[in-house]
Amino acid sequence: MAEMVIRNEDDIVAVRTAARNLASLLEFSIVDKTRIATAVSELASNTLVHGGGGAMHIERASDSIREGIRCIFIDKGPGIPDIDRAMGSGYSTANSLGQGLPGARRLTDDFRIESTLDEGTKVEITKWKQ
Amino acid sequence: MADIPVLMIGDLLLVSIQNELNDRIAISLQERILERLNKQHAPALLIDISSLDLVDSYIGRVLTETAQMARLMNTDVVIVGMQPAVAITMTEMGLSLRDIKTASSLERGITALGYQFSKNVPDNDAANDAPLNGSIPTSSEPAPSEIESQHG
Repeated sequence: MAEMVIRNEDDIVAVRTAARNLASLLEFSIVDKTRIATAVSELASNTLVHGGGGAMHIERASDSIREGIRCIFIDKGPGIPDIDRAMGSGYSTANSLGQGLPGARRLTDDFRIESTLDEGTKVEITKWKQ
Repeated sequence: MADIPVLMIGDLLLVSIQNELNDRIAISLQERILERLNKQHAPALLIDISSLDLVDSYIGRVLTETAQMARLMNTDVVIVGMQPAVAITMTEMGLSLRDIKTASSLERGITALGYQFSKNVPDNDAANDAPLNGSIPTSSEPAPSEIESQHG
């Protein structure tokens, strides 16, 4: 388990590189590596732009039959007022096109989001090795 | 990090993205391309993304907007060399480079624009006289007959 801060655009590059490196270590396919890095890029951008910065926890995930990668994004930003709406394509605040959350969900296997107004947002994604 | 070079080859503008793109670099590149086009018109701009191992929604949007802006300045844009994993991921996310011409390699992109590589013919003006072709095949190589007809 490692924790990486997300405070600027270079940090976004750093976290997606870390995710890709862990995916390489676990011998994910090239397409899955790209899916993971892209989902991480989207969520890290959300953490920075909408959450005002935060952190990503990255870890190896495993259950009895498989292993994978889990990334958890945490910010203490304003929170998301309407998660269902934010999960729909095209929803946008803060000058983005709102592809981030639905895109990251499509690219990963497990997706969880919790958000509390004025407290922050936590998004957890897991990609299992096929 | 050094700026991504914006190169002029003949009357073609060529940008080859070799580094990891962050949002700031992407926007700065867009501005530099448009400034360059403003100083010196180019009928076509090729953006080589073969080294990019990721196109997220932000980078995708910058590429799309850059192509739209260049088109308003009368410049045709071809995005070349997208890696298969990037194409798969973008499509799964629901992203598309809407209405942008693409080619699988730089050479095919240039050829599809109506330019020709000549190894033996010493006519250096041939490329300058070549007309722009209006349509770039996205996945398949243009048929030899098409290429012939553009220069016949």
